[in-house]
Amino acid sequence: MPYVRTTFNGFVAVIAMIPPLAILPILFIIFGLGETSKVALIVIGVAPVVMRDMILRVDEMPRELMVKAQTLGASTWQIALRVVVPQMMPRLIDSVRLSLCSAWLFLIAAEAIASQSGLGYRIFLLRRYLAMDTILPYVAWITLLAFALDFGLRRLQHKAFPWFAGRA
Amino acid sequence: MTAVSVKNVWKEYDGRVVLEQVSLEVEPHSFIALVGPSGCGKSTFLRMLLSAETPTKGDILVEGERLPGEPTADRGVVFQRYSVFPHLTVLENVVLGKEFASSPLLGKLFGKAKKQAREEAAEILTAVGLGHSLDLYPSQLSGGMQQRLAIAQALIKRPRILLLDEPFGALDPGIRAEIHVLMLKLWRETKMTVFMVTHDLSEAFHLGTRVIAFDRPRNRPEERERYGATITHDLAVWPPKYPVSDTHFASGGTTRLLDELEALPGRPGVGH
Repeated sequence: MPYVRTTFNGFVAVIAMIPPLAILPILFIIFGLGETSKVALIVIGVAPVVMRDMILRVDEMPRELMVKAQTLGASTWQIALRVVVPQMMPRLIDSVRLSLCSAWLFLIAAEAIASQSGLGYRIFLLRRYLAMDTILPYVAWITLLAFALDFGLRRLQHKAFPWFAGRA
Repeated sequence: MTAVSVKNVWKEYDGRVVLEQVSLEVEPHSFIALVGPSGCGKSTFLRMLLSAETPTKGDILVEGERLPGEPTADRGVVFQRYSVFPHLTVLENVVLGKEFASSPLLGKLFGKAKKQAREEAAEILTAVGLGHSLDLYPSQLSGGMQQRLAIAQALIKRPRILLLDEPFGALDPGIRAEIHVLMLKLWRETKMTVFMVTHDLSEAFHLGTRVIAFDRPRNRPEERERYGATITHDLAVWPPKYPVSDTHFASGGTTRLLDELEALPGRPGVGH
């Protein structure tokens, strides 16, 4: 595991520092103006942040748990599979919830620049007509969607990982 | 029944000597209590027995063989905290040890093997008094119950050596007395060699067959860098504990054992 870490840690750290919006034009060139480039932008923008957050969370795990697992006869692979990953899942959901904010930012920015549909596209289209009366309901819709996603993830976390909510 | 011998072990961190000249011969089925002031290296010593750390110099032999470089299943451990896995229920925590052994790829058992492992785990949990809490998560347990769980978890691997790092330090006195009774009973039944680090001298003398004190013989500020702690006292606890238990187990059950224990001369009563 330390080897995997030393190989990829620096890589992720550098990738995470690239401002995703700055490479949006490159994505448009590679993936065209369709949906793919927007999905790619969100992935590139959000994934490194989530990854680095997960790395930090794994570091936070008490050493004792690893030693204990070893005394129960676990191999490195088994520790990863049965101890580390299951404990990281609810934290992954937390991390994704926090990242939703920037995911929306990337989506709307991408739609504003090149799109034929989507809420962000419509808002920026209406901007030309100063149509505040229509923009505001769109903003409300986006907020509602974002809130629903966040709420859904929170419920999922409660349902799937009951041990996480009650921990000290 | 495992003999441990520690031969002139030194431990240094970045040139700072923590432990020096530690030599110890431990008979099979001993209960060794390690005491000493904070920072004197008794926990470090325990971690070396666990292979979580390696001695800078010297050897630790178990049954005449050198310790492997990593913690293994023949040495169980209970820490003061973080000994149980928060994401597994009480039963799953104990079954886990079985699953690691018999399913190298997935670390999970299915069907009949799973049922069997669960039954065995439930049996051990009942023995430590957690028979009614099988489906709870550790966060729903009290501190004492969590430590019972940690002990059960270690026991399912049938370790030859059990290492306890201040296991009962965070418990209140009533719970502590109960868990002491349990610990002595398990120690007698399983014939393990136990090493326990503790701050509580009465606990050390109550549980141990032998009490080992660590301290720094030279402790002036300018000496602290180059001189480590070593064993300063090595006391056998009287009356000796295990001959009693061995004859006892030839003849009877555990409940009588505890009565005998209470009746022993010179001992404080246990488990009120």
